[in-house]
Amino acid sequence: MIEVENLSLTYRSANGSHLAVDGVSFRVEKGQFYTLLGPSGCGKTTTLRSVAGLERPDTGEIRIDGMPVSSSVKDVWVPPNRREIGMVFQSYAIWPHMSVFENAAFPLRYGEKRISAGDIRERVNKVLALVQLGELADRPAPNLSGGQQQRLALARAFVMEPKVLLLDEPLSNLDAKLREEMRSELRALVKATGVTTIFVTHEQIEALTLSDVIAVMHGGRIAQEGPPLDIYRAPDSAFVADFIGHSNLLRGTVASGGSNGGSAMVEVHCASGMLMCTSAGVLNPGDAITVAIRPEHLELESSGTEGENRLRGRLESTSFVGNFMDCRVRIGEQSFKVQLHPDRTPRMGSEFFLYVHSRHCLALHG
Amino acid sequence: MNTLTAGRTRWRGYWPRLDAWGWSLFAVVALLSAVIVVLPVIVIALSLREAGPIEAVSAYSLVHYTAVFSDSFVYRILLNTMGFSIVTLVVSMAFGLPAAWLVERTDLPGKSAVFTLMTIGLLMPGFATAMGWLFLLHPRIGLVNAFAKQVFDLTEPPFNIATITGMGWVEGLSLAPVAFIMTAAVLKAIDPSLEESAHMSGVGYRRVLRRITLPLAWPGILAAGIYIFTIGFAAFDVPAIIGWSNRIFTFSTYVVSQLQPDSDLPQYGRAAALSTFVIFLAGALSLWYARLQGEAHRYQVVTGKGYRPRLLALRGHAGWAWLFLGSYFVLSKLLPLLIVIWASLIPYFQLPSAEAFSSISLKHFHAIPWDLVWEGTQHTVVLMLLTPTLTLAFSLAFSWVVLRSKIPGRTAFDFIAFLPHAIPNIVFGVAILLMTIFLVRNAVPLFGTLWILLFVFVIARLSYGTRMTNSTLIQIHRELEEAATMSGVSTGVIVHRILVPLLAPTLIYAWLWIALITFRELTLAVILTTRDNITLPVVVWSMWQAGGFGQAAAITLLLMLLMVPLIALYWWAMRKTGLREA
Repeated sequence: MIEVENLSLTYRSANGSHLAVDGVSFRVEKGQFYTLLGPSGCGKTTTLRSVAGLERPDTGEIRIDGMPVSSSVKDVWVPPNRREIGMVFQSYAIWPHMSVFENAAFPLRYGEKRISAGDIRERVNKVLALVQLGELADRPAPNLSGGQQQRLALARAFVMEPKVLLLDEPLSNLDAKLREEMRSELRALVKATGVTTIFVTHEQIEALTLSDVIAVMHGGRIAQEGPPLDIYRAPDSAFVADFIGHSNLLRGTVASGGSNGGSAMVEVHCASGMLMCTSAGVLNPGDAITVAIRPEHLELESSGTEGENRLRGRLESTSFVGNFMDCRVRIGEQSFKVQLHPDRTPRMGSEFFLYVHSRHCLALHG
Repeated sequence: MNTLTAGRTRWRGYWPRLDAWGWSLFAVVALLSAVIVVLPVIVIALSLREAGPIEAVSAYSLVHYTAVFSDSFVYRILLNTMGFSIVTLVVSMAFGLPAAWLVERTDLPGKSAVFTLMTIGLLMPGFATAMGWLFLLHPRIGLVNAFAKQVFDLTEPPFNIATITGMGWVEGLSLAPVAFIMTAAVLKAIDPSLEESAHMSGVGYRRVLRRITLPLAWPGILAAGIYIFTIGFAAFDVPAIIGWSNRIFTFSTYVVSQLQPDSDLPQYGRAAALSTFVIFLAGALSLWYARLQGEAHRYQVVTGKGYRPRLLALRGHAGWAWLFLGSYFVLSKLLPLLIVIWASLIPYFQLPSAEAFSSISLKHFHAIPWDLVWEGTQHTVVLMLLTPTLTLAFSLAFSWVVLRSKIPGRTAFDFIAFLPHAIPNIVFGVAILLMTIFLVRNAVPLFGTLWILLFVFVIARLSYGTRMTNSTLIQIHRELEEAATMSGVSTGVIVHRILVPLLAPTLIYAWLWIALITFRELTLAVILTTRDNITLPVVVWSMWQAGGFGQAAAITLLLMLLMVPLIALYWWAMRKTGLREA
């Protein structure tokens, strides 16, 4: 279990200071796969490195299994080499002057928990077999492929049998096919060992497929936290709506509020027309808001009449992406992204109606 | 989780958390830095002290400065030194710059040979080249002069090497490899696409050279120029071998003559005052140098890939190019070497003739004071082994603190490590001499020991060492060390098991280079050597000073012979590591 409370970190350099992490708090349950997701510069890696002890936070407390490892209040600092954390780096950091075996054995040979040579051999062989590198144990590390280096980095992190595993964009250096393979393997490995894991990535697909819980970070803060499906279905800010998947974002003003079962329904006045939207929070008439609609939720209808959430527009452009057709439909000033099945080939310049169910029309603050 | 409780320490404010190993490295670096900073301060302090360093109490005044700067001889010397440095600069650039251009921008065949010869040529002791040229162009005994007088029936010798221009010529030949290596690096750093786009704009080769290449390279060339000028200003070997006996002094030889006068007592105060003057002069030049370096970076254009520049086809002119390069190697290395061999084999110096050849013998070799040479060799070998080892150990500590420790103000250490490079070596020699005589004379009997030489050699080579370790450590991905930290190891294990193995190629290369430079080091040794800690180059110098030219030549040959296996190793390491920077 990892608890992070009110973590802040400012980078200072000759060119001024930069608040990288701004009061971040979260909690990772035992055995959970927790992902910090966000664009570059959002503070996710700094947060991870603070948990590792490779960065020193200005304020806040970090606890591992209830024991503080870093606390500005309680005046505690456990150096990174005593935290017993397994970590996989973005570059893999495989030592090129050692063999595969020596790389994996390093923590047991020179680390805090040293064990006998015989035990080392046994443990290392076991962990190398786990990541399917058993046959390559004697190979010089630079002779490994990218995917194999990645596995070796994992093996080296697992060999100490840590309670906590930190993964810093471990898949970003692999090519697309390999990345997909490693994704499923990674989750299987982590779940098999039951290690508590924090994973840092800027790739939403990795976050959505791997995680138990995702924290979307933005500007040094956690913008939203929750299980992947919740984050995708119910983003609570324009940033999250656009960062996870894609969204058409429309500026609008709340015309009237209403209630429709569980979630609140609001009528929103946009440049393109009136839209019935779902709102998670409380909105008052007159509030300036952003409406987020995902491209896959927009339907292109060639006939019909204007009505609720049915807007008339003109097809501007299409581009074939593979598994769908990426279309742009212009309604007034706004250009909407729409995803169509690749079988459909609408005519350019023709008029269409765009329909979106109010359930998929999210009214968001800001 | 009990290790978590055991490993707890206090939060501590602004300082990074280092383990015991980290703090030890920091302590070593801080201590050495303090010494380096204190040394010039000692010189300045003693230059203001009226009484000599041995007296316990003294008044402080500018008396030494008045003495130095009211002496017209001193102005002569400063003018001499300026003239000598300028000639050195011009000669070294005249050979080095075209050679660099030929290697970097033309299709000259056998380029790597030029690099090897230039780098290894830098290792030929300056006093050997100087001896060779003295035997060639001395007004009385010089071979060329004697030959010219015989053939053309002249009464006056046509050449005189014992002049400022003559000495500058020899020093310039010795430093041409420095000019070559530095300007070749500048040319290499220029993005060739800048030149190519000018060619594509329809501009001819010469005009591109003049309008694009030279302006872009100019800050770098100027920086190399300042660097060579500074070396020339502090040069000792050449002015000592050629100028001393003819009473033509430059700064370094004059300072040494003040410290080791033939008759009078050592003039410590005057030496300190002169050194202080040079510290400030060098400081000004270094500031200028730093600014030019900054400007050179301003011109640097980010390139994605290392494009190869368009090489000018020399076609039939390749022969001329090699004639130019070849004549440089003959003039600077081969000819002086042959003359030194000749001088060591004949009883008294004369033109080669049937009679001279019949008189060839090993007389000088027999006359060598072998016990002194043996002693000097032992000392030199000890220094040669210890200097590079210690220098590189300290350099690694400096680089680690500067690049890895996150200690606030750590860049100051990088600046301090550069000081022994910026301030002429001889000033550090003077400083350490004064320190041993004045400060620690009674407490630690350092004067006249090998340790004092080791100490000054290490400080003098620290700039080079840290440049090498810095540039390599920067290339090592930080995560390689962080991964080790996360594996639960201390800084000591990281240095021992990760950094040293990864830096090994650079360390071996730099070790050999420092060893070779140490082997032939004369300047610093001359100031600090007594009968008890004499080194081989100092034996050569004392023989020469005593007029035993033949014996000095013979010992020089021995010294160079001893360097050969090391040079072979160095050559092997240079090829192996692909490093070609000196």
